[in-house]
Amino acid sequence: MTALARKIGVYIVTAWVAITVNFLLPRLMPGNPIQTMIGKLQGRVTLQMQQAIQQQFGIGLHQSLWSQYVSYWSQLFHGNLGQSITLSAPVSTVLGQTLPWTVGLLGASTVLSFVLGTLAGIALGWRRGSWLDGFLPVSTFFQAVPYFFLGTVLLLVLGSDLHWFPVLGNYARGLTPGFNGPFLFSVVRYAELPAATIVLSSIAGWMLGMRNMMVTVMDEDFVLVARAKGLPTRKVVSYAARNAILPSVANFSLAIGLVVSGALLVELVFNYPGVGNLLLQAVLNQDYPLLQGIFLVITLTVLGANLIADFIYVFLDPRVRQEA
Amino acid sequence: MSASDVAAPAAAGNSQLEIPVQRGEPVLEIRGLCVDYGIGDEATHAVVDANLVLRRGEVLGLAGESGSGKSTLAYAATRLLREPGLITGGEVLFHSRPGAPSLPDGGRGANGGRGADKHADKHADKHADKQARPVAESADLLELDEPELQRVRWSEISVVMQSALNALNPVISIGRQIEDVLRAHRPGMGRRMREKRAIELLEMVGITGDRLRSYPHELSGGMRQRAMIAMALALEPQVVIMDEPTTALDVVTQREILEELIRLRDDLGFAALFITHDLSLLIELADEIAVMYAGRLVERAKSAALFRAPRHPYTYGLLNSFPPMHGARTPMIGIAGAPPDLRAVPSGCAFHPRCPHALERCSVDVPQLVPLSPVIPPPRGAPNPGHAPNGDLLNGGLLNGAAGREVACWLHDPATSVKAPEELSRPDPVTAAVPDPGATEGGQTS
Repeated sequence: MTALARKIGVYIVTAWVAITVNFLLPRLMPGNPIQTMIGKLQGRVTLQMQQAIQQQFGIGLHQSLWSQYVSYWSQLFHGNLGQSITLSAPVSTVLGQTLPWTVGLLGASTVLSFVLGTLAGIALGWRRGSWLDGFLPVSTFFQAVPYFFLGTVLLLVLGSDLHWFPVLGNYARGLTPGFNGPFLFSVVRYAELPAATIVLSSIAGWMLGMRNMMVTVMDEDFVLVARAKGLPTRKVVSYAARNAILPSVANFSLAIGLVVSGALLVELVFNYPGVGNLLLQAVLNQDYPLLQGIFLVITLTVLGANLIADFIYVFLDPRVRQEA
Repeated sequence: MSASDVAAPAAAGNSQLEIPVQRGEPVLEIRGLCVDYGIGDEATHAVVDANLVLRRGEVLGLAGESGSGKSTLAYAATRLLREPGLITGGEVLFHSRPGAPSLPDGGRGANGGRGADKHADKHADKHADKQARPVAESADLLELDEPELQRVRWSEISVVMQSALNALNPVISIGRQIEDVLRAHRPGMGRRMREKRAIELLEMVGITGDRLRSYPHELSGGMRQRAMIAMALALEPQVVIMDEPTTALDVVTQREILEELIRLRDDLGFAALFITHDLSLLIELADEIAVMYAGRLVERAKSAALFRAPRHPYTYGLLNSFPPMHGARTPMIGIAGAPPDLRAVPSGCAFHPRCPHALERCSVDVPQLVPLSPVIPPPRGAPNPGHAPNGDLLNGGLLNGAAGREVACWLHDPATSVKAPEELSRPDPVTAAVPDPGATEGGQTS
C-alpha cells in the first residue's frame, strides 16, 4: 500500500500548489483589483465589508505577501473563504446553499450517464455488428447537438407544451425545504429535465469508449480462454468488461471532479440555482472572493475525485499495485 | 465406425504398457474439416479437408510454419475460431469416455503422489453424475448448441495457449481463475472445496499453494505457463489442445515445462493435440505427428518414423530447420523461399515452388493425403541397397512404413515413374521395429 501513500502525498502537494496559485492570482493582476472593486461599489460598501475585503486580500493592512499568505491559510483552516462582495454574505455560506443543488443534479446525472453508457457499451461491444449498433448514430447525434439547444427543445416541448415535466427552478414554490416527502419528490421532478439533457448529451461518450475497449479486449487470448473454459456467457462478458472498463473509470473520475463546477448552460436554460449560475454571477460582477472560493472548491473536488478514482483503480487493476 | 472394434487391436498391441486409460482408441476425430477466413470469392482457405485422429492418452503433434493453418485447425475443431473464421465443412467427432457414468478414475490412484486428490475426485465424480453425460457416446462438436458446447468445453477439451501472460486474465488471481472453472462445471462444489482443489492443482504443477492469490503479472513466465496448465487440467479433460505452449519461454524453462507435460500426461492420461513449428520438440513428445503446409496436411506418421524417414520434401526441410535436442550437431539447411500467401496458393501442390524435387505434375494436380503403400515398388533402375528385415514381406522392395503413414506427395505415387530421392525413402524405423504391422494398422481405419 506504499503506492497509495505515495499517491496521497502527491495529491497533498498538488492541493498546496493549487491553493497557493489561487491565493496569488488576484495579487498578480495588473493594477489593484480590490481598489477597483471598492471603487465600483462606492457608497454601497459597508465598513464591515471593506474590512472583510481588506482582511481577505491584506490591503490597507500593509502586510507583506508572506504574512498575507500565512493568514490566508489560517483563514482557510477556519473555513473562512472571505466575504462575497455582491451577495453580502460569507462565501462559505453562499457555496453551502448552492453546492448541494449542483452536486445533486450533476452527480446523479453523471453517474446515471456513466452506468447506462457503460452497460450499453458492454452490450454493443459484445454484440458487435448486430442491430444494436444502430444505437450508435442515435447517441452520437444527441452528443453532437449543443446541449443547451437540446435542453431548450426539451424544455419547450416536454415542459411548456406538453406539461409532462415542471419547468424552471429547483422545486415547487410554497414547499418547505427539508426532509419531507413532497419537497424531495418535487426536487426529483424538477431535476428530471435538466438531468435528461445531461445524460442524453454525454451518454454517447461512455458508450463509444466502452464499446471500443470491449472490441479490443475481446480479441485478447484470455477472453478466448474464458470461452474455452465453458464459462457461462455472462461470466465471459464480465471477464472482458472487467478489463475494458479501466480507461472508463479514469474518465469517470475526471467527470465527477467537474461535477461541482456545474453545467453552466444547463443551469442557465433551466434556471437551476447551481454553482454554474453562481460562477457566472461572480464573473459578471467581478466578485473575486466568491470566484476564489468557487475555484478552491472545484480544485479540491477534482483532486478528491482523482484520489478516489486512484483507489478504485488500484482495487480494479492489481497491476497498478506494483508500480511504486 | 464404433469405438469397440477399433480399441480391440490397439489395446492388444499396447498391452505391455499397463496404462489405465485405454490408449489408442480415438477420442477426437477430425474429418474433412475446411475453414475459410471471409465469405465467397474473397475467402481465404485456411484449412482444406483436414483429417486427423487423436487417440486416447496419446500426443498428436501438429507442425508447420507460421500461417500453415495449424492453429486454425485446432481452434476450428473446438469451435473457438475467431471471426471472420468460418467452418465450411467437415465434422469433429468427440468420443466420450467409455463406460460412463462413473469416470474411469479408479486406476489413477495407483500412480501415487496424488493421494490428496482422492477426496476432490470423489466429490467431482458425484457431480459429474448429476450432470449426466454431457454428450452422447460420440458427438459432432460442430453440431452442438451453445449450452452443450459450454458443458463439453474444459471438462472434456481444454486449451493451453502460447503466451500465458495473454491467456490469463490480468486482473483476476490465478486461484480465482481456476476456481471459476470449478464453479461453472462443478456447481455442487463448495467454496472451500474449490479453493482446496485449486491449491492441489497448483501444487501438481510445482507451484506452492500460497501463490493461489497471486496475479498473473506477479509470476514468472514459466510459472504462468504452469498455472495455465494446472487450470487446463482442473477438470481432468480427455483432450488438451496445446498451442505452442513453450514457444514464448526460454529454452531452460521450455525443457522444464515439457518434462512437466510428459509427466502429467503419463499420470493423468489425457490426449494432447500439440501445435508447434518446432519439429525437433515434437519428436520427443509426440506419438504421432501431422505436418501442415498452406492449410493442408501433407504428411502424417509415427513421430520416430517421421523423424528418421520423412516422406514429404517439406517435412524433410522442416527437420533440417531445427537443431536436434540430442545427438550430433548437424548443419541446418532450412527451406528456401517463404510460405505461400493463402490468398494466392500456388496451383497443384502448394509446396512445389519451394520443392527441390518438384515434378511437372506437382504444379498441376493437388496431391491428396493417401496411405503409403506398404512397400516401395521394386526399383526400376538400380536395386536399392536398403535393409530389409522382413524380406519375405517385402519381396525385394523397400519397407515404406505401413503403420498408417500418409503423405500427400506425387513422388510417392505408385504411378509416378520418378523414384523418390534417397532422403525421402529411408527405411521406416517403426515398421521395422514392430513385428506385426497389423496391430497398429488396425487403428488407422479412418
